[in-house]
Amino acid sequence: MKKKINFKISQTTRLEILKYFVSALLVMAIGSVIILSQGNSPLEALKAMIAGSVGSPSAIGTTIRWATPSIITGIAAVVAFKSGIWNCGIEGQMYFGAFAAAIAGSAITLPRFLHIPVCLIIGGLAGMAFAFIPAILKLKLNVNELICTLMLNYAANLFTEYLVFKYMGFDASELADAIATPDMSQTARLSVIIPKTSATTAFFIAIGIAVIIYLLYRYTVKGYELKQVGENLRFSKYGGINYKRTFIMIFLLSGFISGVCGGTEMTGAFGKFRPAFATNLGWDGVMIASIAKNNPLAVILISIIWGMLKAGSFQMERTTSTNRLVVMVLQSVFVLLVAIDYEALFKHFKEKSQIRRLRIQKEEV
Amino acid sequence: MEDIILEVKHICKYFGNLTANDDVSLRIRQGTVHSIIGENGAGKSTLMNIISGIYKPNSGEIYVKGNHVVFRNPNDATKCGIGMVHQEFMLFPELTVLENLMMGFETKKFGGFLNKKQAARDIQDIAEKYGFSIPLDKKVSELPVSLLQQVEIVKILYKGAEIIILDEPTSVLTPQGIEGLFQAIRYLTKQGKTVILITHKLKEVMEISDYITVLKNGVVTGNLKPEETDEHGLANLMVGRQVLFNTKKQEKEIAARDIQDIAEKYGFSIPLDKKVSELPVSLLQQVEIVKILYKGAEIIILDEPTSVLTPQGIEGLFQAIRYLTKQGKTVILITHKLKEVMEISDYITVLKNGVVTGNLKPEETDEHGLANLMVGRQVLFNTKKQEKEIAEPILEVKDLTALGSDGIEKVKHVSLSVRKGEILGIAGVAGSGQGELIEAIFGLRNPENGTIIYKGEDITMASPRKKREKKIGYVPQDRISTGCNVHADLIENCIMGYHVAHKFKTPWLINKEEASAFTHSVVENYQVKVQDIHNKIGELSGGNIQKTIVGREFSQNNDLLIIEDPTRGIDVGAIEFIWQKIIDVAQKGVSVLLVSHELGEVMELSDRILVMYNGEIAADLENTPELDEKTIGLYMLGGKS
Repeated sequence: MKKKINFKISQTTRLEILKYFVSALLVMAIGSVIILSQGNSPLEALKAMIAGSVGSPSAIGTTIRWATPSIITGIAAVVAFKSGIWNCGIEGQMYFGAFAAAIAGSAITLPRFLHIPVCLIIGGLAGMAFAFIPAILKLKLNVNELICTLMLNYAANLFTEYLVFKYMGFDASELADAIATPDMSQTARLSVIIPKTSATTAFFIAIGIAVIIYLLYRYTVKGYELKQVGENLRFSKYGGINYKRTFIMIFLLSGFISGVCGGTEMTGAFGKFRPAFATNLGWDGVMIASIAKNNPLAVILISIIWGMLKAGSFQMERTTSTNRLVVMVLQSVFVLLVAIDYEALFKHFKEKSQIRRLRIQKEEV
Repeated sequence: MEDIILEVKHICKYFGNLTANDDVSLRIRQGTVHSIIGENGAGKSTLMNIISGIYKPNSGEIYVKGNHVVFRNPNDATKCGIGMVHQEFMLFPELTVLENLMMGFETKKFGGFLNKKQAARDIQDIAEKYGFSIPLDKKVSELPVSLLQQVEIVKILYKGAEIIILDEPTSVLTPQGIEGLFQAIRYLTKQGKTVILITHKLKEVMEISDYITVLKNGVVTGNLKPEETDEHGLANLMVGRQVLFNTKKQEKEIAARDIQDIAEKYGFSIPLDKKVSELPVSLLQQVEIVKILYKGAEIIILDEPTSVLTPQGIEGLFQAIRYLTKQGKTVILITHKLKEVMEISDYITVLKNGVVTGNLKPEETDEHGLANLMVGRQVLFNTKKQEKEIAEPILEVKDLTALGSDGIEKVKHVSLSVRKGEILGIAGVAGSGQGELIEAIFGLRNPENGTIIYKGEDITMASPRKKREKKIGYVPQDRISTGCNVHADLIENCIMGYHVAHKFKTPWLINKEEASAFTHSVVENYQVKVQDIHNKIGELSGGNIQKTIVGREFSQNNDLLIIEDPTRGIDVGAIEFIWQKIIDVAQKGVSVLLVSHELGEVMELSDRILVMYNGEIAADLENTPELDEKTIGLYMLGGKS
C-alpha cells in the first residue's frame, strides 16, 4: 500500500527486484548450458524465441493467446494460496468448466451479448461445483486438500472424457481426433483481436478478473478477511472471522475462476471441448502465482512473460533443433530460484559462522 | 573328461558385520551337476552372485578354465560363459519370448535394426539341440512357470553359457515340472555343459548331483559325492548344532526378561505386551520410569509427575520413589504442589524467576514458608484505585467443563460471575486451566458442559464473531501467534474485530479513512511507538505490540474485556501504562476478567480474586488490604482446600 501512495521503493522491494533479476540471469545461463549440451546454439535459440513471441503480429497473437489462460489460472491459484488453501485442482476445475461451457455454447441458442456471459458463468459454476468436493471433505472430514485436489485432477480429466462419450453417443471405435463436443455456435465465440491467431477478447476478460481480484483484496472487508485467514489463522479466529465459511468461499471462488478459464478457452481459442485439451495450464497457474508472490497485478505481468516463453518455444522448436521442453525446464528452475528465501539462507549461514567463531574463541580461552 | 572348468579360492564376502562367505573354496568339473546346498542364509546365493559377477568378493580369486578372472559386472561373467537362472525370473512380462531372449544380446542388421528372424533361427537351433521347445512369439505373461524356467535357461545358453547356475530352480515347479527340469539338466551335462545347482532340498540333491558342496554360515562344511553319503549325513553338515547368533526374537525375549527384572526390583508391574495407548496414565508414568531405569539411569528427574495422576496414583508413585532412593538411586522432583514436596522430599530448592530463593529441608520450614519463597511479590507501584459502583452481574459462567488440547479435562465444573465495572482476577500457577477456561468463554474452545450467560443471554456455543458483535473483547496471552498478524501492517492489525463488531460505513468495504483514523487513535491513546501506521506490526517491540493489542480491544467500546497476562515480558513503563488503562476502563463501567500468572498483577488490579488450582476454583476472595500473598499462594499451590 505504502509503495503505491508514496512512490517510494523500500529496501526490501529493491532487494526483491534484484532477486528476480539475478534469478532471470541465472536461468538464462543454465538454459545456455542445457542448449549447448545438446549441441545447439543458445543464441540461435534465443533469436527464435524472440521472433516467435514478439517478432510479428501473429507472434504477438500467439503470446496473447497463451498469456490469457495463464492469467486466469494464476489468479485462481492466488485466491487459494493467499488464504493458505492448497488448491492444486485448478486443472480439474477447469476441465469441468470447459466441458459445461462447450455444451452451453452448442446446445443453447441465445443472442451474442447474452450467450458468451452465459457460457462463462456456466463454466464457472461447473468449476465451482467440482471445487466443492475437496472443500466439503476438508471441512467435514479434515481431508488434506492438497492431495485431494491433486488426485481429483485425474478424475476430472477422465470423467469429462467419459461425459463427452456419453453426450455424443460415441463408442470406442471413434477416431481419437473426432472425440469432441459439437462446434459451439458463433454467438458463443469471442472475437479474434489479432487476425489469423487465436488471440481473442478473452485476454481482456482475464485482465478484468485479475483487476477485480486485486480490488477485492485491496478494498473490501471480505478480501481483508481472506488475507488474514491465510496469514494467521489463529488471529483470524480470535478476531471473529468465520474461518469455516471463509474456507468454503475460497475454494468456491478459486474453483469458479478456474471454471471461467475453461469457459474462455472454449469460447476463445478452442470452440469445442476435446478431452485432455489443457495439458498443464492449471500447473502454469500454480507456478505463476508462486513467482508473483500472490500479487494479482504481478500475475498479469508474469503471465505475459509466460505467454512469450510458450509462443517463443514453439518457434524455437520449428526453426532450430532445440527441444521445446527446455523452456519448461527453465520455467521450473525460475520458480525454484525465486522461491528460495535468500534472507533466511543468509541468516542461517551467518549464524553458523558466528557460532563457529564463538567456538574458536572459547577454545582459545 | 572331468576337467576343472571353474575354481574359486578363498572367497570372503562381508555385508557390514555379517559374514556371508568365509574362505570358501570350490572346484567345479566340466560336464557335471554340482549341487551347492545349505540352509537359508548359509551363503549359497551370495557365492553364486559372486561367481556370476553381481557381487564383488572382499577377497579371494576365481579361475575359469585355469585362467584367473576378475568380474567387474555380470556381463564379464557372461563373456566367460557363466550364466545364472535366478530364483525370481528376470523376464519382461509384456514382451514376447523372442524379445526377452534377445534383450541385452541383440542381433542387429544394418548397424542398428533388430534382426529378429536371424535371432529366432539361432534360438530355435539351440532349443532343439538341448531338447527345449518354447513358443517364441508368445508374451511371457501368457506362459506357465515351468516354461519360463526353460526360457531363462535358453536365454543363458543363447548368450553362450558354458556354466549354468540354477538358483533354487525347483521351488516354483510341480513334480512333473521338476522331472522335466532334471531331464533337461542331464541332457545339458551330456552335451558338455556344467550345471551348478543351488538348493536345500536333499532328495533332489541326491538324485541329480555328481558332486555336492555343503555350506553352513558362510563356511564350506563338506565336499562330497552322493554315493559317499545319505540325506542324514547332508542334513547334519547343513544344520550342525552350534547356534552362533541370537535371532531378533531371542534378543527381544532377553530384553523382556531384563525389563521384567528391573520392574520387579523396583516394585513396578507393567504389562510388556500391551500397546501403550491401552494403558492408563499412571501406568504410562511407570513405563517412563522403567524406561530410564533400563537405560541405566542413576539420577531420575521427574517433571511435574503428579499433575496427571489420581490421588491413588500419586501414592503409588511416591512409594516407588521411596523404593528407588532406598536402592541408591537419586530422584530430582520438579513440582509446584507444596503438600507433595513436604511429604516426599529430603531436600528442597526453591526457584523464582530463575533465581534460587531458598535451599532447605522440609523439617526446617512449612508450607507457608515455601509459598512465601515461591510467590513472594515485590510491589512495583501503587496504582490509583478509586471508589466505584459495582452493579449486577454481566457474565455468569455455570458449571463449565472443558478439555485441553490433549483431551484431558482441564477445566472442571467452574462457576464464576463478573459484575459490571468489576475487575475479577484469576490467579493460579500456569497450567491450572485458566487458559482453557478463557478460550472456552471467548469461543475458541468448545465447552464440554455448562453454560455461559452474558447480559441474560445464553452464549455458551457462540462463535468469537458473535461474541465480538455482543461487545466482548479479548487480549490473548500469546500476542504473537493469536493477538496479531506479524506479516500485516498496523492498520490491518487494528481493524481486526473492529470490522466485525463496529462495522465500517459501508459494511463490505474497508473505509481507508475510517481505518486509518481508528488506528491513529489507538496509536496515540496507547502511546504505541511507531513511525508509520503502514509499518508491519512484526517490526515493533513486544511492549508496543502489546499496547497495540490492548488499545485495539479497549477502543472498541466493549462491555466485557477478557485480559490474559497483559504485561508478560514487557518493560516496567509499559506495565504501569497498561495497568492504569485497565483500571480506567473499569472505572467507566466496563467489566474485566483478568487472568494473570503474576500474582502481584492480580492483587494490584482486582476487586475480587478467584484462585484456580487443578482446573477448579480453589478460592473466591475479596481483595481487601488484609489479603496477603501467602494465603493466595497456598491456594495456588493446593496447600489449602
